[in-house]
Amino acid sequence: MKSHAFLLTMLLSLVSFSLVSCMEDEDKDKNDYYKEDFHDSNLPEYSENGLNLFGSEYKVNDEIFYFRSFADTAPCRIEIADSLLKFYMIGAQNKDFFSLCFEIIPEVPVSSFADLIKLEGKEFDVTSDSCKLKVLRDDEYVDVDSWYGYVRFVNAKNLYVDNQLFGTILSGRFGMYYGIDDDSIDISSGRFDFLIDDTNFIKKYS
Amino acid sequence: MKAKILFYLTLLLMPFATVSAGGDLRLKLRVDGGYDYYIGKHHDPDKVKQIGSYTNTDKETYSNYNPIFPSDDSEFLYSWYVGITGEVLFHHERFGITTGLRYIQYIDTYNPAGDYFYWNYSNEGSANYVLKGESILQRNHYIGFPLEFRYLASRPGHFCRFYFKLGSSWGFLVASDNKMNCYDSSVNDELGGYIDDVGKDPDSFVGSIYPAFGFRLLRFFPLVNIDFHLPSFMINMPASYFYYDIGMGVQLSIQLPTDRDSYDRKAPMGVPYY
Repeated sequence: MKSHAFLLTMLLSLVSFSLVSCMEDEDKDKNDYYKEDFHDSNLPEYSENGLNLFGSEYKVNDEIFYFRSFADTAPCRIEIADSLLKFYMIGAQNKDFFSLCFEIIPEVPVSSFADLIKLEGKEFDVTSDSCKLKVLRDDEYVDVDSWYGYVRFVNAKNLYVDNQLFGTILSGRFGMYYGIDDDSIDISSGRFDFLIDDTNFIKKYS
Repeated sequence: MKAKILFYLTLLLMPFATVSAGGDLRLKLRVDGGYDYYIGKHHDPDKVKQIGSYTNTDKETYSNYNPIFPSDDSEFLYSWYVGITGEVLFHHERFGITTGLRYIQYIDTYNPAGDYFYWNYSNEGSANYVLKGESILQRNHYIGFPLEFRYLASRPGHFCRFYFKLGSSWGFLVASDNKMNCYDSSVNDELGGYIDDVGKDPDSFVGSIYPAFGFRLLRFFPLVNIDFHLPSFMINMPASYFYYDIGMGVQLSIQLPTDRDSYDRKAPMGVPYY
């Protein structure tokens, strides 16, 4: 009789173990490519993986919108002409198509997308002579009065797939404050993570 | 943690305590082997890289940033094991407790849908090396012990005895290897197939618990047991990125009774069996 009771106790112990193991919630099938920022779910998390996305707050006269990349549109393009590097961000704000362009004199020779790693750690002030800000307006990039602004290339690395150069990952942050017409535009908390390759790196010959 | 260890130790030593207590006991040595199959899913490994790419290469109208998005195409993990165990039977051979030594190998294949996935292989300075992989096979080797309680529903002497069992198996990780099958066969040759780091180690201690039913065949010497584990539950995870929903399995064992009665019954004229 004792042995029955003892065995029953042991069986119950193992059954309780089984139940505990069943109760564990392992449903963490995270397959997220777009990770939301912890502080602001309207923005993508800062990353350095070449995910081809960007996002920032976009305030028009203190009313908040967001300027972000979106599906079906390549979010970045880089054009090189002579010593000028044009860095385009293409997305939408308040559901309207919007784009801006940094015209940069990089001070390092950039002749192919692989050379973009030379930009790592560099920051360009849009109020300086080495950088100018343009925004898209009526299908045309126009100059704006920038009171403040920067683009910072935090990380740049060449991506090799199966030992072949595949592209360059360019990640960083940006922000600016400018006036256009009677509006003041404040773009802040900007972050970008792009993969630049032959398709979006364009070399223009003068 | 101490309480856990004490609990496991108690479970392990229980059969020996029972043997030492004397009484109506039969010890049967056993060689066993089995196969368990777990249904579940894979997390994306940390080293699987999402890369933005363009589907349309027309520079004026290029569109669509399109990350390579692996999805799980192999929703299972399986294990096989072999061991040498002893079973103490008591109460007219109706109840049994088994423990011993067991080698368990868990095999997990990450094989996402699509032609390939990007695997973050290494970062060196301003270069990031990525491999195109088709699948990753991970084998994890554990040494441990089973602990099983069995109730045989019919009396000894029958050719086929039906039984219920509550079994468990506990193991400690002793080795792990990961083999990647690359998309490009030339890279496969260069790499040699094996990768050291998959970003996350499997759990170093795992356990599984399996209610089972089965049949014991033959009468005296030897005895053959076939168990069916359904369902089978797991504690901790013996694979880096797999998480399970439920498992099932089958176990085959051959028992060699060490008690005198079994030999005498096998050879009633008194001829020693061995």
